Amino acid sequence: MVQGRLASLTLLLVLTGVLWFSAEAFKKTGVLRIRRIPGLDAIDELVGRVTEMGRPMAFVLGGTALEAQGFASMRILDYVASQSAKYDARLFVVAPLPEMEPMCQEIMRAAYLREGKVEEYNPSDVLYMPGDGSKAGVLGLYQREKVAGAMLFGNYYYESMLFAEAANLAGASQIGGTANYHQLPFFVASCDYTLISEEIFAAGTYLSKEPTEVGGLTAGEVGKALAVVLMIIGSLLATFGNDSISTLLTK
Amino acid sequence: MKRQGPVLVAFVTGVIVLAGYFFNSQTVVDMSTQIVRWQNIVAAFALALGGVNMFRLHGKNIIGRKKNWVYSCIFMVAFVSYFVLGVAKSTTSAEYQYIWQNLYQPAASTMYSFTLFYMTSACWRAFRIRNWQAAVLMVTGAVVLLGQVGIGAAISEAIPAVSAWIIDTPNAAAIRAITIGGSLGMVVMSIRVILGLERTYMAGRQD
Amino acid sequence: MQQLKQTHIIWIVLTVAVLLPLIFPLKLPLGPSPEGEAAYSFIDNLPQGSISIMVLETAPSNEGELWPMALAVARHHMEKQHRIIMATFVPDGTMYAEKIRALAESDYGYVYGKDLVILPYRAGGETALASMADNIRAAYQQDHYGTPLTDYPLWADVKSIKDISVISCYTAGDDHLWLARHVWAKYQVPCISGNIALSTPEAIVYFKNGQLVGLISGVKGAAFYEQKINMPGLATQSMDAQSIGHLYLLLLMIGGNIVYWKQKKDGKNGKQGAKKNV
Repeated sequence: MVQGRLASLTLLLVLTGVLWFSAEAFKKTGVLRIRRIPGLDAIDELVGRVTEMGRPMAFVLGGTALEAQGFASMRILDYVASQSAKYDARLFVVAPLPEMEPMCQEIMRAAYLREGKVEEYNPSDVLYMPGDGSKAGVLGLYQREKVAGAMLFGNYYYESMLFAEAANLAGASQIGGTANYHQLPFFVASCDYTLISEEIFAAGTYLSKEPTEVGGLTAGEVGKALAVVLMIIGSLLATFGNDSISTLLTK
Repeated sequence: MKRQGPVLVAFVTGVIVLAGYFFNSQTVVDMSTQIVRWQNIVAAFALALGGVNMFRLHGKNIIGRKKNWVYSCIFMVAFVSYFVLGVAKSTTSAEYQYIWQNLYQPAASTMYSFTLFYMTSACWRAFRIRNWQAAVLMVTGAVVLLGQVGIGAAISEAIPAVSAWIIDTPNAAAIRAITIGGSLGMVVMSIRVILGLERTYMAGRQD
Repeated sequence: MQQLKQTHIIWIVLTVAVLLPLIFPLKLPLGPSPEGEAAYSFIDNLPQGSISIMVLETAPSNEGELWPMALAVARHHMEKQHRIIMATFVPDGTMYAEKIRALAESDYGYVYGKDLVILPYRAGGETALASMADNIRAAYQQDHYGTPLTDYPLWADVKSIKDISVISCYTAGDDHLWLARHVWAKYQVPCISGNIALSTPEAIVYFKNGQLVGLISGVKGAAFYEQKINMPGLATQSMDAQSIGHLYLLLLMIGGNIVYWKQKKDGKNGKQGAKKNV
């Protein structure tokens, strides 16, 4: 065992266990208490808006590497694609990474298939825009296609301000979400709704209410509760010169 | 098999890399290091895949004379010529670097500078005092803005000190809270991917 | 249309406000930077011949903030006659490494392969950096030009990451976090992070916890470093413009509120009135 990683391993095993057991519990009871997340409620509203206006919507994924936020964002895309297919709203998807593009294509195709409209699916609506090219590309897309809605989710960096404010100036309503704390102020300033940090990970549960999603959300909440308890006890003990919690965490 | 294959790969590689992080066994560490190196190779292939996809998309636009096909022609000329130059004369050649420094670099810097313009127009709206929380936001924003540059220190020595306190104390506390919440979300999402419970990325719902 | 006109006016005034101090410098004071001071002192105290790695995660989109600090630190290493290895995990990084090489050869008489080496670009970001930390000789066999690294005398002194005296990165992303995780936590190799100002609130936590031995934050940090090495450059020049830019943002915040309260008094309610976030 590598020195200092016992606490991490224990937490990982605890979270995996909680995920499993709470998923099983939800299968039996079907009871889920989850607070309202206005940004996710607004997705249907936004799809309705673009449908009424007869203008398209853009779903722009952020990312310099495919990681957890990317997967969570694709979970939201899955729902948005279904809603768009259902209400015949045109949806452009911008993938910033080469490996994301085929994934987005599959998600879109499956959504149209579920709604029985696979022949209406246009693969050209999924755009791969890499690196710095994506900045000009997305701004051009907003202007050329006159988008009425923009959804910006994932691992965003400075482009958050660019994409959100440009959408605002193009008259589009926006929903943004990222776990990158440094970009949250920009989304809050420019978007109509913002999903803050773990809210994008909760989106899957909120939108699908599927058992393993519920398990994942519960595990995250248990982890947070543990962190809060450890912080309070650790701070109190440290105040009185006892560093047993920090020693425990570095074992 | 189309779905089970990727799930199996994610599970096996995920467990080995995790084990390599937690345990000292040289065999496991070697396997983990090897997988991480494979990931680098796969990432390089993914870049090539992206290039092929763009080539295909713009090629279709040109052949089908689709909307804005002229832009696709510009892309093709730029893509092919820069690619050929890079392969034929290498990316360290003077010609390759000349194009990068005199065409790409200024264009990309221009895109970044747009951020400042958009930030100012957002600033005009975002700091409106609609309630007391917005008032707190505006006052702290103003102090940090001034404290980060020389003009703050020129007005009063207290401004950079208060600005540093805001960044180091309440701001750091909020960031840590957001980071803990976000990190736990990432851990759980990663567990779901490794265990094959998260399949949206291959258009599979959890059924 | 009304909003567009207003936005254009805001942008035009901004352009003038930022350009003027670049033409007519105001020479405003910089203020302290303890984390920049720590970075400077650490490098300054390294003995001659120490090997450092500079991870250039610089791209044209962020070079305004990152390039001046990378250049200042590189100059500092050269002044102290440290040996430099440059690595990158972004495709554009090697272009900046070439610029540093040109400077080293022309101004400091550095010899490529003996005093300085450029490693090739590696895709993969965090995993690529982790590979470098775990086994640098396995992660890199050739340099940026395709020459085997074993041909260079500098490489003979690099058996593992522990032979490196300091690793500094220049990043608009999370490299400071990667360094803390894969380099400091595992091998206790000292790390310095050069960040865009936006990510300072996170990176500073790592500095205060001792996981980074120094932190250079944005243009201000770069200007501070330039002044420490007594070579005012790009960052020092742009600090006045940044000061005026910040002042202008402050005026916009006040102006926006005046307009908002006036509109509220007149009973107007535009799109912004319906925004949910603030």
